[in-house]
Amino acid sequence: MTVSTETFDLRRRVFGDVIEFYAPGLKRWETSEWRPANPRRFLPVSVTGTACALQCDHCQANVLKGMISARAADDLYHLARRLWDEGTDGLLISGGSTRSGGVPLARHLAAIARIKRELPMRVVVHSGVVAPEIAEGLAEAGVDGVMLDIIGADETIRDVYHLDLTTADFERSLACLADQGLRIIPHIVIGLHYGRFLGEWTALEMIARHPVSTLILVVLMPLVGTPMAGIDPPPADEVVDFFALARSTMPDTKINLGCGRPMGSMKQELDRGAIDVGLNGIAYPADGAIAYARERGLQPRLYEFCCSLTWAGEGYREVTIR
Amino acid sequence: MDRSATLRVIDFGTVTPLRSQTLWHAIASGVSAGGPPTLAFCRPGGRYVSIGFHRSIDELDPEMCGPTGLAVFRRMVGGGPVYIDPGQLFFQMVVPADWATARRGETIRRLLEPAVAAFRDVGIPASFDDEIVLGDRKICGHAGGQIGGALVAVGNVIDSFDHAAAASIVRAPAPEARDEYLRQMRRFVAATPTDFDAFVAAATHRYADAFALDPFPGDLDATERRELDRLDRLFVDPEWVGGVEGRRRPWWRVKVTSKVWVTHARIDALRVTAAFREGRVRSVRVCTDDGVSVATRNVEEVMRRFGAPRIGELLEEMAAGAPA
Amino acid sequence: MATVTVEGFPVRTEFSYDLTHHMWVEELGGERVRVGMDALGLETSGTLAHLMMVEVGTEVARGEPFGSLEAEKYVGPLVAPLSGTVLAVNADAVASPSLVQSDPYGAGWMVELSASDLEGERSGLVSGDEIVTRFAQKVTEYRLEGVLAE
Repeated sequence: MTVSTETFDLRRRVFGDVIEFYAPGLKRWETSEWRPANPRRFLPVSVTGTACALQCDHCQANVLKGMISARAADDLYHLARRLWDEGTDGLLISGGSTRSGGVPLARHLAAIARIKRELPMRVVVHSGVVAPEIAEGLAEAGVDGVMLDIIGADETIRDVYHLDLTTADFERSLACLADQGLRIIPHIVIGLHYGRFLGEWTALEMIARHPVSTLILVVLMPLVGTPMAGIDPPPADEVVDFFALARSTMPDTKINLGCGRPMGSMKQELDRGAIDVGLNGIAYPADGAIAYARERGLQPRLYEFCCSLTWAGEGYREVTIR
Repeated sequence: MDRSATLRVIDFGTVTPLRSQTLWHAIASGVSAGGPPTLAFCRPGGRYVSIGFHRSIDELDPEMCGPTGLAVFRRMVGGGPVYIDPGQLFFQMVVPADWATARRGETIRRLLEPAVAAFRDVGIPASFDDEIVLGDRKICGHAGGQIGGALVAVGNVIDSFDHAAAASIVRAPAPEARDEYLRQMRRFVAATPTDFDAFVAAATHRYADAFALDPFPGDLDATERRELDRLDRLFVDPEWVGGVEGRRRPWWRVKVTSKVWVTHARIDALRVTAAFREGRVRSVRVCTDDGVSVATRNVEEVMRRFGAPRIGELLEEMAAGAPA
Repeated sequence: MATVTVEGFPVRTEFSYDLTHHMWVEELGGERVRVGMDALGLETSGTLAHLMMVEVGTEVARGEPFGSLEAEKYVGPLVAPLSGTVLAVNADAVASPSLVQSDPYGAGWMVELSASDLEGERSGLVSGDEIVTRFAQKVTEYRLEGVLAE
């Protein structure tokens, strides 16, 4: 009795046989199949250092610890210039959130615009919830893409993110960004509500209503020292089922499995599942995932930048597996 | 007006749950008596459960449905238990029985194809694959049949769908069986947010065009209204709602779409829940009464883990043949 | 007992048929008859999911329903080929409609009737030498209409 993988055929029809693997310099990483040649090619920058007003239950600013800190007085352009000189050609500009749910990017828009004008760097920002003025500013600055988490349950926004907002605010953010013609890269954190599914389906429906460039699916990683420490992430087969639902719901949109997901055997299972149900790409693939993709008749391509930059294949040197 | 070349179109608007069933049954009696082919629409104003003509009331969860829960109405066409709420628009095409082709499935398809075209007209790239789908997901529940001297095809446009509520109405033999049903519904049953008025206009045009009829806005005639009164009484009669005893099956199974179904059975101390698509396993979960629960797509793994080769045999049997 | 194959479909030549509604009639002696669905009716119905028959003791009229079937979510009438009183209902077929598909002329019978006008209504059925020809004509007709594949 064979296992059905109906959406795999769909992805081949729409996207062909290429599958993309990504390994930006967001963390030290290598597998038996791939050691990135330039781990500094794409780097994350936090405009708030390690500070975050929200202290969401699943993160508590842990994710900021791995980022390059740009403090308030720093000029983002000069930081970018220095990184460029050291071999970086792409930046994720992120940071902690303000109490309104957005990353404080306003004061950095001029610097971002200058980066885009004077340095041949890709710049993607993690915006969080955005107001129309910020969306306009990001468009004028010429950012290459805007990432934001889309949460489909008011309960999760309130309990996990401690935000006094609703799902409508997240959908409005999508609309603002779309109005400006920006490349939108929404994220869904599967299992965000303390390890169980809650708002994921609504988040997917919200995203499907807007013109997005790439959908990134990540899976809750319960972190030590946070209120979600010790919580089990949702079962892998249910997560893979959600991958398939996303694929089926948005058959023409690139969907990647992002870098946030539990390690170990679950990661193996998720990566195989992502390949089986027809996702377009995987960040930091588990050992053996690239070979498995080949077994399924796909052609792997490897990129040393963020999986949000699905349009940026041209101009980037393709890396071969060692 | 030569009624034989016309299509009566009735948009009842928002109606009570009871009327969302009895109105189109009344139209069937009118068409049986020589009335014109009729395309009807209505929006149920409340939540309820509709069960198909041949199905057993025992398929419904007794707490969620019936005297202490949602109202249950038995329709005179096929299919199983269906959760209905105000997020849906019903449409029915009612034509004389002699319009049927000899192949029943073909008859239903011909009566639903204009609805598929209407979905496309309102921007939803639907297609017909045993039912109305968007990609691999079902977006419209349908049923059909002959009521007296009329053929009826019914369907619904789902603007919003409460999957959890829909899963709650079936009697499930174990919590994990209901959970699996809900999970597969989330995967394979989708709402398609739609402007109902736009769909009504598109469907009217498509049905008229498909059957070369002139559409005209109409209403029930006096005979149909009398029949409506009778049906309003019949549909709340406990004997009618109770129906007949259902078929006994070797294991529990519930249909998600025409291609996807969920089953559950016990093998000794093991509870086996499985989901299938076109006869192939989508997932298997084996639970024990002392709390062990293993979910996998790998049947061999689960057989080894529990030392139960019969699981494989059971799954082979369950895989063969979609439920009605 | 003689089963022949007509245009690919099995037909019991000792039975009588209502070819419009695809029902067969087997005379059991006296006024007692057994009724079921023929192979062409099963083919055009699709896989049977449910059957319902009226209760024993019910009076049925020729051309009127004595029950219903459901296939592919379509509910349609089972039409009585003769008038009479229902004497028996095949509970096995109701419990498991696949029995009708696997053995339509034997174990898959549907009801037994005490026919009220067997002499008068028998002439409305096709029987004897005409069966093979008329059955073949029906199959050809369906093929021309596209109801059956060539």
